[in-house]
Amino acid sequence: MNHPFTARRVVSLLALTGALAAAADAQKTTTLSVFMGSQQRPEIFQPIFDRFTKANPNVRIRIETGGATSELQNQYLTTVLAAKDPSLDVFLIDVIRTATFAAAGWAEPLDSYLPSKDTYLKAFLPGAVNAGTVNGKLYGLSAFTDAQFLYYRKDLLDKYKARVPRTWEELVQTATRIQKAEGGNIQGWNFQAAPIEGTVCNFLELLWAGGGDVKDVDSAQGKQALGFFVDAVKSKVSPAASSEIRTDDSRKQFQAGDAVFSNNWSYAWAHFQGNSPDPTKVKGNVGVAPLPVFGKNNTATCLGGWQWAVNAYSRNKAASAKLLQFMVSNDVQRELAVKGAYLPVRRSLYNDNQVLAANPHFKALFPVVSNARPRPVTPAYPRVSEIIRNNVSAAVAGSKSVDAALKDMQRDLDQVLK
Amino acid sequence: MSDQTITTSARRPARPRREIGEGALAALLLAPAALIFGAVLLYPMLSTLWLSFFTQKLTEPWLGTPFVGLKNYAQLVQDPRFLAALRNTLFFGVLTVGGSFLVGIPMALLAHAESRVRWVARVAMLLPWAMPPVMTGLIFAWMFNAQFGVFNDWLVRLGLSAEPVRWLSTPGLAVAALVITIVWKTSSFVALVVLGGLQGIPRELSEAAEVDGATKVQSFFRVTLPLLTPALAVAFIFRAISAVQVFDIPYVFIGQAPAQGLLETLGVYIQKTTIEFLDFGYGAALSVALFAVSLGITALYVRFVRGDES
Repeated sequence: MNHPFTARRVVSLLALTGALAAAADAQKTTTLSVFMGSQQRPEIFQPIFDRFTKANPNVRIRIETGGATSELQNQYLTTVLAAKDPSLDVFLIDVIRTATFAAAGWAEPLDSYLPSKDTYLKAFLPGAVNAGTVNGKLYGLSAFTDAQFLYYRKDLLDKYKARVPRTWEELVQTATRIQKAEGGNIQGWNFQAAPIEGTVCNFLELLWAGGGDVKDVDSAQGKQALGFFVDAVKSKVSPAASSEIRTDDSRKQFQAGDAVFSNNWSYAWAHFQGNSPDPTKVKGNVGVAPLPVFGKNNTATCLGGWQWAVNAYSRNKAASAKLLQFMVSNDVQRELAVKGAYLPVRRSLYNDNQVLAANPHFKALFPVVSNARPRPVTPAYPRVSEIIRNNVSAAVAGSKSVDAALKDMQRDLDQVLK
Repeated sequence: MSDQTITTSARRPARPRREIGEGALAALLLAPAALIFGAVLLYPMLSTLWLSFFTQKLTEPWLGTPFVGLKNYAQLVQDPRFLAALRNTLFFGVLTVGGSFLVGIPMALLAHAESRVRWVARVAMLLPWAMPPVMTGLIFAWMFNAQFGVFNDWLVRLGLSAEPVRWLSTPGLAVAALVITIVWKTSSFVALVVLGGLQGIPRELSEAAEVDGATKVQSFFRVTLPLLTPALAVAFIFRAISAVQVFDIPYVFIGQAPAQGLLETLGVYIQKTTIEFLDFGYGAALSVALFAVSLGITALYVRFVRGDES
C-alpha cells in the first residue's frame, strides 16, 4: 500500500495547520462556554447571549446546562475545577458559594478587568456587590439578586377583612381564622423545611426577625424561631408534611390555590401570574409583602441570587469578563426582570416603568431587597448549611425536640464558625 | 481471540516467521486488560492511598498540602460521624443482602418453573435490574412522599391511616423505606444469578428424588439448594460488596429528609466530605476505610470458597 503520510507530507500538513491557526488567531474567534443550571431557565438567557454575539461577531457562546439544584450544579463544577479544567469559561454560582470559589482559587478576580471598579459598582445594590466580594476583591457579578417574601392571597384577605400581617403571631391568627371559615384543606401558612438551602433561610429569617444571630442559636431567639415552625405544624396552620416540602413544592401548592400565606423567593411571582409551565389559579389575587417580625424588630430576609464568575483556568478571561459586564448591563437586567421576575442588581431599575409594569411589587419591596442579609460568609458554608437544615428539618418533622435540635446546631456550628 | 491465533498458526506451520512462545503470547493478550486495569483501577487506588497521608482542604488553601502521616486515620477512629456511617452501612448491608435473597430466590424459582407465570416473572426480574439506581431512588422517594406519595394514598384509602404517614422524616420509617427500595432494586440480581444456577441443575436429579417419594419442599431443600450453593456464593459476594459501597439510593433519600443521619452510609459520607466539604485528604482516608471493609468481605468469601473445595 502507498502510505499517504510520508514524513514530508506530515511536515507540510503541520505547517498548513499552523498557518491556519495563525490566520484564525488574527481574527480572534473565541468560543465561550457558559455553565448554568436548568433551574436558571437557559431559554431566557439564550436570546440575551445571541444579542451579545451579534454585537461581538468574533465571539461564540455555547451554553452547557447541568444539575437542577444548587447542590448538583456545585458538584459538577467542583469536579471540573478540582481538575483545573479550562473548558468552561463562565459559570453561574449560588451567592453562598463565592467564598468557597475564591478560597479554592477557582474564580478569577475581576478587579483588573474593571478599570473604574468603584464608580462602575455604584449603580448596583450594595448587598449584591458584597456577595461577590471576598477580602476586598471582586469574584462575581450578580446575574440577579433575590430575597424571600411573604406571598398572600389578596382575595381571601379582602373576603375576611383581614390586613396583611405585620408580626408572625398575627399571621397565625389570620391564617387560622381563614382556614376555619374556608373549611376544606386549605393551608394557613406554607413554608419549606425539607433539608434544603431554602430551609436555612427560613430559619435565619425568623431568628433575625426576633433579634437573634446565627452565632447564638441556642438562645431565646433561636427557641422562638424554631418553636414557631414546630407549633405551626402542630396547630395545623401548616401542613403535617412541612418537613418534606421544598421550594418548588411550595410554589406549586400556592399556585394551585392551596394556601393563604407562603414564604418564597422572587421567581414565584412570574409563575403565579401565568408565566409558568403549571396552570395558575391565583393570577391577579396574589400580594407580596415583607416577611413578618416578632415584636418590634425590623423585618429581615435572606440575600439570595446567583453570580456570574470567570473560571480562573479559562483561556478567554478578557472576553469572559466582557460578557459578564454585558449581563449586568441595564438592558439585560431589565429584560430578566420583565420576563422572569428576577430582581435586578441595578438600583435604578426599581423605578423603571417596564419593570414595574410586570412586577408592580418591586417598588414597595425595594427597601426590603436592599436590606437583605447574607448567610454566614465562609468557605466552609456547605457544613454550616448542612448543620442548620438537618436540625431544622428534624425538629419540624417532630423527630427531634426543639431544644435538642438547637443544642446540636450550636455545638456543630461552634466548630465551623469559630 | 486466542483460539483464532492458535488455529491460524497451526494451519500454516511452514511460515518462515519466528513463533512467539506461549508465555509471550499470553503476556501480549493480557497487556490491554492489564493496561486498562492499571490506569483506571490500580492508579486511582494507589493515588487515593497516597493522598490519605496528606492534608488537602480546598476550602483552606493556605494550609497547602503537607504530609501528615496517619493523622487522617487518627481523626477517623474518633469521628462519631464515621462510626455512625460505618454502623449504618453494615446494618443496611445485613438487611438488604438478606432481604434480596429472601425475595430473589423465590423469584428465580417462579421464573424457572414450567408455567405461564414464568414469563411474567422473567420480565419483572429484569426491570428493577435494568433501572439506574438514582432513578430508582427518586421514584421510590416520590412514592414515599408524605403529601403526594402513592403509598400514603393507599394507606388512607384503605382506612389504615387517617393522616398521611411521614415516611421519610420519621427515622424508623425512613430506614424501612430505604431497605424496601434497595431490596426491590437488588433482588433481581440475586434472582438472575440463581436462575442461571437452577438451569445448570439436571432435571433428572429432582425427578429421581420425586420417584423416591420426596415432596417438592423436601426436594428443594435436599437437592436443589445444596446444588445452588456455588451460584448463591457468587450472588452473595457481589451483593455484599455492592451493599457496603451503596451510595445512590441513600444519597437521593437524604436529599428528601435527613432522618437524623440514620441513612448516611460510608459512600455518602465520602461524597459529602470530598465533593461538598472539599476535604480531599480526609475523604481519601474514608475511601481507604471503605476499601478495607470490602476487602474484609472478599477475604471471608475466598476462605469460604477454599473451604468448599478441600
